[in-house]
Amino acid sequence: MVERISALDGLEMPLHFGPDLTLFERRVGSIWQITAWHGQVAEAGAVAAAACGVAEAPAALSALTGAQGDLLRIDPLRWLWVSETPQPMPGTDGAGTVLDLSHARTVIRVEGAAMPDLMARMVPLDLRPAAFGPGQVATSGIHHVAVMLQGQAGQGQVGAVDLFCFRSFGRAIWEHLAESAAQFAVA
Amino acid sequence: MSGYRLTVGGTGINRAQPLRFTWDDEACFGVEGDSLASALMSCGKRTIARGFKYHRPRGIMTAGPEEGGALVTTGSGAGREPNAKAPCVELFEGLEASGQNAWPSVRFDLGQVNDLMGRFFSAGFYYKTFFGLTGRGTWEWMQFEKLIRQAAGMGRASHQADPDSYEYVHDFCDVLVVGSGPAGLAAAETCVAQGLDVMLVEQDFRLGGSLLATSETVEGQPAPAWLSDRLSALEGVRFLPRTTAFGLYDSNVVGLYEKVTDHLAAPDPALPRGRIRVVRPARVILASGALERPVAFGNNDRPGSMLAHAAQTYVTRYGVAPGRSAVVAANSDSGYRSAMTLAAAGIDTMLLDARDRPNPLAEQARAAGVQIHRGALPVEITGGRVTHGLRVGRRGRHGHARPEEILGADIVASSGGWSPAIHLVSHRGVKPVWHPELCCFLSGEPPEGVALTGAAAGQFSTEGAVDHARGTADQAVRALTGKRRRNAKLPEPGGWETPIQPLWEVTLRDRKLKSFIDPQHDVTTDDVRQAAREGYASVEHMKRYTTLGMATDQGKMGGVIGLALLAEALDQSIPATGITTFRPPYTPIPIGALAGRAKGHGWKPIRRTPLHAVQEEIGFRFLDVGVWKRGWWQKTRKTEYLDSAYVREATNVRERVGMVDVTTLGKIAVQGPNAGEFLNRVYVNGFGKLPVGKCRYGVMLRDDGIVFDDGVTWRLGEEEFLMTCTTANAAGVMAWLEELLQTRWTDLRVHVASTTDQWAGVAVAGPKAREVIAPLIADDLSNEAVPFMGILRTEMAVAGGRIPVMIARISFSGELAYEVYTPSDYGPAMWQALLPAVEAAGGSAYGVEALGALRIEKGHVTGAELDGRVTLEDAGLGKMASSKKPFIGNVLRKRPDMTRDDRPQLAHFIPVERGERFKIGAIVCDPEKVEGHGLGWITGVTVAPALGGKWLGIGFVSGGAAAWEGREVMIADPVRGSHVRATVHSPHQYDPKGERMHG
Repeated sequence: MVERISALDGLEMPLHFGPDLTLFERRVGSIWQITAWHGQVAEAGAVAAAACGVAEAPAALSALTGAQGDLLRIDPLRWLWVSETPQPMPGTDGAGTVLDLSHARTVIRVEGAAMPDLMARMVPLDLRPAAFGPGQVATSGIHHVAVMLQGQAGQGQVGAVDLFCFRSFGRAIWEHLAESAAQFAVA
Repeated sequence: MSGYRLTVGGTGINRAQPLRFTWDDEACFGVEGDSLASALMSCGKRTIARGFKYHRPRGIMTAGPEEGGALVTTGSGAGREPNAKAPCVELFEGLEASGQNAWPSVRFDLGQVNDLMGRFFSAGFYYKTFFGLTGRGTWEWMQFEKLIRQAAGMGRASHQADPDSYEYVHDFCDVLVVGSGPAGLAAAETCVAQGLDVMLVEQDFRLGGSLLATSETVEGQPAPAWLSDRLSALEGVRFLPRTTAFGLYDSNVVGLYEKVTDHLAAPDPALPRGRIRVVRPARVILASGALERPVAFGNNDRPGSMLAHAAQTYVTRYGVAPGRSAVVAANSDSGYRSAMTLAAAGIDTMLLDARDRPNPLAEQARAAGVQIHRGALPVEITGGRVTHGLRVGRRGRHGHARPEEILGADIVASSGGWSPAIHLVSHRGVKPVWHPELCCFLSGEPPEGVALTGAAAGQFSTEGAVDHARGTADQAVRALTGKRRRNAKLPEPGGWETPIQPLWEVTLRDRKLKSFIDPQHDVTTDDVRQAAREGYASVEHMKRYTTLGMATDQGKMGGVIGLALLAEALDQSIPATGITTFRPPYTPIPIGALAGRAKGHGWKPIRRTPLHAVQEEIGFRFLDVGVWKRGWWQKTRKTEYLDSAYVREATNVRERVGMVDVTTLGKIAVQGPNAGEFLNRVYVNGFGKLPVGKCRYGVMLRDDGIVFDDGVTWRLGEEEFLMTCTTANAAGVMAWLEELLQTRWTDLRVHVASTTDQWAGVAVAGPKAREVIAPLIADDLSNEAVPFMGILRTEMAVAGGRIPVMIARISFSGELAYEVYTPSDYGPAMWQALLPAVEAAGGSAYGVEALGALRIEKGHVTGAELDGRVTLEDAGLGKMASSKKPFIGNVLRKRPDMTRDDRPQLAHFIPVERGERFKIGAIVCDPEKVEGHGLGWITGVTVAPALGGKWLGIGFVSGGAAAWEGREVMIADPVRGSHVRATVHSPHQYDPKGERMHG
């Protein structure tokens, strides 16, 4: 088995900034992008849902978790099927196309009660717990780079967000996060 | 006399915690809770600054951001900051502060000679003196300007880079309350009690606003107790002290600047110095208070002259007496409160009430020890460098004052009324409305979602402000929650027990007084009248001609007085004269804060390939290519540098084998049943019939026929292509394809998506390329199995097992070459498998410098040539254009000017004299006519190992190699001072038949 080398390879992880903020990488086994043809969104969504093991495809800007991972609706025609373990390419029965992005994203998890405060330094999105929680998805930009956000419960329900970064920018975004997060470790 | 610390009082200080600071290198002491102004005052410092223009001595005039006198410099070295307002600087242990705009010091400043020539320095002095007249043209002005600039300015910033960090924060809340005075606290309390998410910002370092400086009771409680109760009730509210709402923008976005470390002696370096907070509240409640106005009278800028409420603040909040004896000159009831506070602190206090009528507060004031002079006006401060007394008078028949006596005093505290701080709504274009009874401008109808309350809404009594604030907050609650609470009508503006009487300026009939209305810019009442005389009838023009209320002042001190005087000079009403538009920022914010983290290493993100670390490990140096870090060249020994390393690397490729990271090439998945047709339309050459398992070089044009981009596209399946494009154009090509699919060809069933990050790529090039790769993969790589432009999907043996790879036989170097791609996380393993094999074959890794050398030798174009001016024919690619299908750009590329024979076309250039060199950007000229833009330009240069180590250039020349083959041109570089004779050659000198890459 050849080891996959992450864009964040060699970095100290998890990185704690005081008791309320932690950064670490969420390693994923596979990311499949399923894109529907116009007029066949329902069919493609059903295929995606079946692959992921959820009852139905999530609505816009939301995610559902099934037996085979998370299914995120990232734009009107697209879903990302994200799994912690490698998954085979799903078929679409002609309802759309499928693309392997398993190595194209670095997923950084920001976790803890201070997550909204750190993320307020990154994106112009309302990530207060009442406004953005588990199962919600958004796209924005960090450090001039497009990033997709997925709300997570986090360990102990402390609140977390997963940042899907382009792999080539993953380390730069990690460094940017860590630099800003350092202040949270100051008493 | 000077100021001193009172033995009792000071609601905002902690006497038990002394703080040492320096003022002009002299050790001084204040206490915790002091501002720099209160600490200086307690140390007896009176002259704190010098005026901008006349260099007159200035003291502390206010207790807030309206300060126009005590502008000081804080910090030292790279952290030196000029023009800090002393009342707004929070004292901390070790603070360094100094006077500015003076030499040798603010106490004795030679520049004060300007004051003697003050009559020449009135408004418009520079324009009138240095512009326009004979002998005073542009050249002369430019000479004067240097001198003027040297003499002008207030304080000097450090020339060193800003050592501090800053950041942006995006905030959201239900209600943003600006101001923590009684109105702000009451509004916040009402909102938070209804479960709303409330942010409360306060520019001061203590919450409480006017409550910190009053001995009044509020709702039956002493002010400190009421304040304490309110703060207790505000659990859950996000407090932001030391934070100024500097701007109100569209959609009610509010800009805040939060000072984070300015008050800390040794801040943790992890903390930013300040934050710009961009707040998007559902509702904004502006409880921003009101600013007391001074009165214009003679020498009203002398140290010792200050605002009445400021004097009250220093006594009450800071426990500092500004002096031993004070005259309070006022035209409203607020002067009584101030006078009583000073008297209660043991200061010998007299009150001049410009209104000659009984006042119900008079008895209380007298009981407090205040001597009251009804109908009396301040005429002129007496004394040299500081205040020794005040000449007082009474209004005569012609409006001028009739001087009477001189009252001894070291403090003259004036109050000309109050101006609600409506700056933020002014930022949104709201026109203020003049309220003649209150002698102030109130806000016009605020924008939807914004409300003003408290003194900002003209509520000049504390009880009225609180009542108004609760009503305003109720309205916000109702709007956000639908909860209907009380429906009480908001109280009307007002609150004075007896009416205010307008008092802008006190003049004498027989002589002019020097009366300042904007001390920060040394603007006097005469300046305003002069502007009016000279035709500056618009208040906006007068502002710019006199500089009244400009820059950081933004009309806080003298804006209203100035326009009142302008109205008087023009014999029109104040509403008819209008008021200038206040602009953000409300108070100054550091320029560095606007940059946030986008400076230095944070200026742009770094984009690294999956092969970055493995290249770094073997000594690669990296080149910034856009935001990518690309391996530039490998330092293999201590004495090797770029100029020799890339030649070594390129030679390896020509003679043996090399490998280079090509991950940065843009990669786009083109999928769907119409993908072939789509590519047919995008590229000039055909792709619809490209067999699966083959790839093809393609060029795409813009609509106007100019070359847009090029690259190799692989057909991976019937409905699946992998397009590669140039590194620089990857995002542009991706956006272009999306635009075409979403706007022009919506009928095509094609999806495109960037896969640049999915794949790590290495090009293995050189005669031994095949023998390097073949042993590592599971399938046949022979010429028959993988011919030129063939694709192989197989597995590669690497440490720990096998990884999937896609191999295409493509050559950018002109040698036998393969591009090998694997999913990114396997990139390092692939590199580490290939490198030993390459080195065993006598080769090496190479970087983009050698890559450039190889492509120049081969005559391949890149973004350097395809610069948005070049046609297919110019680039020597004209034969690629299909005549059997339409494609983007095909029509307009045939315009007459695009098909001229004499257009600059691609060519090689070699110096006539071996050893001579020319550079990129030089222009190619006819040897007999080295002028103008020449005949072409150079886009790339290299030492060419394949051509015997000659210096080789690639570029364009009119008519191309066909017109100039073997002829001499002059490559001129007039900017860098070089002229090199060179001969022109075909760009395809190296292996013109392509035998090496097809071998």
